[in-house]
Amino acid sequence: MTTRTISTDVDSSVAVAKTGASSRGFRFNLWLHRWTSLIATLPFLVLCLTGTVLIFHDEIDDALGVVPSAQTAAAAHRPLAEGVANVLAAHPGERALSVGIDPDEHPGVLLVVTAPQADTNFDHAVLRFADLSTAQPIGASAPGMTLTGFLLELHAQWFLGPLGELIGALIALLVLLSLVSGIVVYAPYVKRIAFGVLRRGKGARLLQLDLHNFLGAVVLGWALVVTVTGFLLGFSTVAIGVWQATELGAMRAQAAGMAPLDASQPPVDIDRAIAAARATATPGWRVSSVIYPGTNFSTPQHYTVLLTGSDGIEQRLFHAAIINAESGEVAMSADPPNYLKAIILSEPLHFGDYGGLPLKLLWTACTWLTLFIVANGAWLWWNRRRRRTPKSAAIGATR
Amino acid sequence: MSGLRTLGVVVALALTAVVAIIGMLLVDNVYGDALLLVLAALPLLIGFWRWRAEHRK
Repeated sequence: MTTRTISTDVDSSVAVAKTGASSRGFRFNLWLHRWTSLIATLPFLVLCLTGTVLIFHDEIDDALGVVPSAQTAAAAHRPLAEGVANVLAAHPGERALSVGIDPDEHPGVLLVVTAPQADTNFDHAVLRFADLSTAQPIGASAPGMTLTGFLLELHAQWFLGPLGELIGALIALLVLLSLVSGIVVYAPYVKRIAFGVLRRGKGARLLQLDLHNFLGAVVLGWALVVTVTGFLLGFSTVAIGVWQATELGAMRAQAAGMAPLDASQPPVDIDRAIAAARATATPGWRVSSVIYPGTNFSTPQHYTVLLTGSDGIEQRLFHAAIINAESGEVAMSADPPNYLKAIILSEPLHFGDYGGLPLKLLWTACTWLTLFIVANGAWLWWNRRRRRTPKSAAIGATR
Repeated sequence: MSGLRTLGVVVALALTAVVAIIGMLLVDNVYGDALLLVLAALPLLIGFWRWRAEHRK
């Protein structure tokens, strides 16, 4: 590959005209690339910076001790109901919304999500911990008060809740349009400038333009994955709402005719609910969390038990078993619908936290290169505008 | 290499990275993961190699 032409300091649109690419389609894509990128510049810079930190959320949480360690992770476990009862006894006025068990990341620790007694949603939830071997409380953390929790709320919701998620989806859509139109704009450029060539000594603008195109081509695949998954994640609350209204809604309608029960202390305890879910589970699948009756993710009379697989993609998906909290029977068993699966799988693909440190380093490198491309793209626009302004002013003055 | 061909290579590299990134999530095998990681990083590696080659000229 060699540099074929261009030795003068001309801007890209003039150079493009020389390659015969000044069609209406090209000009539209150039316009689309410029404005979608410029509109998304500032929020995208924030997303890149917070995203870089969030790639290492596990390491940061571990270093800051967000989730305490159990002293005897390998010891025999006490009943989970005992751990939940001890946590609630230490925090009167609260109820358990859900419990989680994660033997890989937090061995020997029971994660109990609690909220004020009247709450049915997770908006004011606190994550409390109990040692599985002693059933004694060992600490707590409020999700939004940790460093990674704070950054995640900024990255995913802009501190605006579900509305912020949709704004995030809109930003992702702008970036996606910028990427696709960028490929169209790149086509005539690459006819003249070989891949990897940086024109040094011919002005800052040409060097920055070459860097923008070269690095853009290098991170294109990664950027497409992160942008599409970011767009899908923007609809996660909406998708969960649809799931709650449809599949869970049918269960709620059925539960409406059943005798009411105390959702904070159901007749069937959490250990029996787990045993019932395990009895019907696919071999190799294990219980990852249990949602108490009377929440947005269960019915007033049923537990929702979530089971995850142990290998590959199954570790990321879940299977839901709805357990009758009065009788302990499995009322329904279901996989999430495809639209929810797509959103669930988007999370690891977006944050790159599924392939160990090497993948995280690749994610970091791509994020920083993208950060540079966004900033230098804005500089290219500003530089071109600055160079044009005196000419326009001079033309205006002669008229 | 013609411009169109270079563009084709760039798009092919991007698609290879996309498939490899998704593949790493689906495959649960050390060697498979290592191969897919290399494929996911291929555009960066080739970009670095091209930059070095052009820089030395």
